[in-house]
Amino acid sequence: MKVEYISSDDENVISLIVEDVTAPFVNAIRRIIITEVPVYACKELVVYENTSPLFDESIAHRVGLIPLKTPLDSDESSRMVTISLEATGPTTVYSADMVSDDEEVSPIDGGFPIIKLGPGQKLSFNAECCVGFGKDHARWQSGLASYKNYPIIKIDSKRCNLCGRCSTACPQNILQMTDDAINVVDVMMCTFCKSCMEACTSSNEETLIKVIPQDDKFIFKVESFGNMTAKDLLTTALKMIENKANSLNQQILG
Amino acid sequence: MIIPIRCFTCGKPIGNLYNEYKERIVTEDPKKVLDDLGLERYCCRRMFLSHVDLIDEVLEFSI
Ligand SMILES: [Zn+2]
Repeated sequence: MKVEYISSDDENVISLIVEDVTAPFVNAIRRIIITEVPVYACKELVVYENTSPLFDESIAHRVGLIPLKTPLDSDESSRMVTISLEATGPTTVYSADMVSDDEEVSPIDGGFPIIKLGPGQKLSFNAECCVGFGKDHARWQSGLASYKNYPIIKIDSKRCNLCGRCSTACPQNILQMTDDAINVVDVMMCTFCKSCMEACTSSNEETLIKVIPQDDKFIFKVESFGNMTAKDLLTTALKMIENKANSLNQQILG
Repeated sequence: MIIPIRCFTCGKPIGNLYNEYKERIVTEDPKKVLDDLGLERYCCRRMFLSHVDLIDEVLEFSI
């Protein structure tokens, strides 16, 4: 397996080009990232006072979905963290107003609006946060991963009559026409829409440009929602696969 | 009612970006603002484009 990094200035995103693997393998990693990475989220909300216009349940739902920073060594047995809030209107209550009893587990950003309070309206609650998994509820989803085959664009340059139709048909603008050839500018932007092939067929007897997905090479993108960096997210997901494989191995060996 | 915390479809947290979006679209092109905020997929973009902020209308009521 060959892996190549595509650099990104955002720590919440990493892109990799993975070679010599099969689609099921890359898909396994993708699914684990979405469903099986342990992260903190609010599980239960104990509402002491709520005279806001929204029901307790709506507020609980909103608080639950706020992503929380999660220490890397967290698992199901990690302790419960309590995040509390007390507010009196008129004001907009933001996630920054919530006070956590553990500094390492706190909202990833203070800018999430929880609710707006009118004059004299009050809201106070304790949010009990615990570690969970994306397969159980969206609040524990820590990121997204996606992949596509690496595109190969083949142009029969000997027979190409430089009509330029493929270049104008491409919605990603990756086919650039020069005086004597069609050049592919950024092959990774290709979405396999095959508009260029259709355009080419309409002007020639045969399709002289071909877009082929390479079967064993993938562009793999991991996007973290902020609970941890994208790199940590990927390594945690790989650790989860390892744990599963180890547990299977142990059961077979008895 | 009030801007959702996450995108309904993909789960990306978007609620914290809404204030900046609302301030900036007064003078700028919404397309550019959405791009700057890092909302790449159309599921996340529609969360902002189709949102109607009704929370102020119900603010005078309490439960
Ligand atoms: Zn989305």
